[in-house]
Amino acid sequence: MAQEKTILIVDDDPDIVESTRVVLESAGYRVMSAANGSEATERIERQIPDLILLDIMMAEPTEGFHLGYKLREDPVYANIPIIIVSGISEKTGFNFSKEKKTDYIKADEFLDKPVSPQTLLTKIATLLERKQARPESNGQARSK
Amino acid sequence: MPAQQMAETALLARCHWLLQARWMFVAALAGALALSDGGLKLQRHTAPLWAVAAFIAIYNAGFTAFERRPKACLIGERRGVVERIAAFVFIQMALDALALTVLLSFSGGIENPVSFFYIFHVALAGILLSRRLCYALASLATALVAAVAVAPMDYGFLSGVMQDAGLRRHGEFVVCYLAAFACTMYVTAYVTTSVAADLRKRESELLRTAEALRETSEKLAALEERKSQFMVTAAHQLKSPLAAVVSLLQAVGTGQVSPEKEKEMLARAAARANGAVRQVQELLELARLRALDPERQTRKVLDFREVLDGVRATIAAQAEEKRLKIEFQTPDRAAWVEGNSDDLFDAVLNLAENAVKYTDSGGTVKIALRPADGGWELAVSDTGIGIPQAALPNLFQEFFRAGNAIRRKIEGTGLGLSIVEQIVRMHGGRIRADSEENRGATFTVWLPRAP
Repeated sequence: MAQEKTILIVDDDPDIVESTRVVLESAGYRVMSAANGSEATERIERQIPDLILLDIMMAEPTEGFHLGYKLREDPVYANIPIIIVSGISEKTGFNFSKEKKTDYIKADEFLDKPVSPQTLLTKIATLLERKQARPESNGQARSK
Repeated sequence: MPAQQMAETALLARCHWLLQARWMFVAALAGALALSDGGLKLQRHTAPLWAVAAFIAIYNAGFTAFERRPKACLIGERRGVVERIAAFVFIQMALDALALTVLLSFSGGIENPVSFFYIFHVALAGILLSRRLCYALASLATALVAAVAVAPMDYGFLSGVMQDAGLRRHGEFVVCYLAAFACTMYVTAYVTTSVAADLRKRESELLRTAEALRETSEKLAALEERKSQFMVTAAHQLKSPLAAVVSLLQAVGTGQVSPEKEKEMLARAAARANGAVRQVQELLELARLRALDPERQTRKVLDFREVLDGVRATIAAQAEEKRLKIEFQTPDRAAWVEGNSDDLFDAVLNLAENAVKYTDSGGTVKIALRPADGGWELAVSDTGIGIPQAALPNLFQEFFRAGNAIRRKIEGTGLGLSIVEQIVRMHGGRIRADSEENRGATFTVWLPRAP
């Protein structure tokens, strides 16, 4: 890999973090990880990742949503691609309160756990390319 | 109160029938009088009778107008509405009785079989009104008929107008007649009020049954909702470890991990798979316990101390391994309870294992049994990490795990306490948790003494 991209994995399951790290590192990405929302915020503030893999249900059932929403609201982080990787999907009918805006964020991708390494790497590559093609435009537009 | 409102509507509807029936009576009376005047000569002087018919028609028109207009004014005030409608009906009936009496006076007196029209009113009053008003009407009718029987018939200009077959001049006839009449009235009042009271009782029973049925169906719907929610939760809880297993195996499958790392990841995968198996086992256990019919359970009277002895033997090794002090306090006399010793053993062991699991080395686990409140109270307390206040209400909910337990990565299925609670409940007991975070926890189980 010419330029080493950094990916942040936010998941409270250490086994998921560990195995995803292996897959991503083997594909040449640099990996950071966080086990909860506040840890993730800390990591992002230290270094802005090129992409975030975000789990939804951590210690709080909607912790991932809250983090994602916070990032989307902040012009500095708004253009980081987010892939929600979660055991919960709309298909399984898990009921999030629809009134609370914070429960819905515009993620770039939604993947159902477990994700095959192939799918994960393809999606990541696609999103990173798309981001490369129009750098910062997303963030600019949002910050107006 | 819907039952009250139903009574009001029913009474108003019946009051309406009464008004209708009175119109029919007026029509029939007018018809008979017209026939009589037309040549049948049933009656010599019909003028007074026409007057009575007109009188009835006038007051019926008045009541009809009143009934149409003031549903609002009758129902307006909530208090005593039924009583006011009943009074309205009673006034009508009293007027009817009066009109009937006048009618009788001009058409043959007590010998006219029309006198038994009073029965109709008394019966109706028994159905529509209170027992008291019904008897009042029966008395009024009796008094009016007695007046007709004993009143002089020669009212000056009216003499000759009144018809009189002459029987009423015989005192013994009048007495017998009045006695028979009074009996008829009171028996009618008695029978109808009794039947009506019985019907009303059944009606209110029916209402209560309908209400209970509605409540039950609501409860069932809520239960169904809870069940499907439970399915979703259970599926998710099983999916997490399986997703981790798949993820770990796929990572190993990339061939990019060192042999030591590979070994470690495979061990983790096995551990997670085992966790899933344990979860399934506990789910099955919970399902088994919930499906049990408490009525058909074979229960034995047993000494609860023996259950505790079994737990003591099982837990000792675990406690020692963690270097925990474990104390047992049991009473000197037998602690008789009725139940299934295997299930009770599981419940107590679960609590003891939790205490050991959530207490760091050097801590103490205390298991004490004492008589209390007509039964036995078992307290399992520890000096462990405790339970956050916010988590206490959800503690016995399936799959619930307190945040501090998750943060410390202490493994658990979240089903143990649900199983314990189910067992305790099946034995007619109760369970309570008291704790503060970092201050240890106490689980208190109360079981009734064996009868």
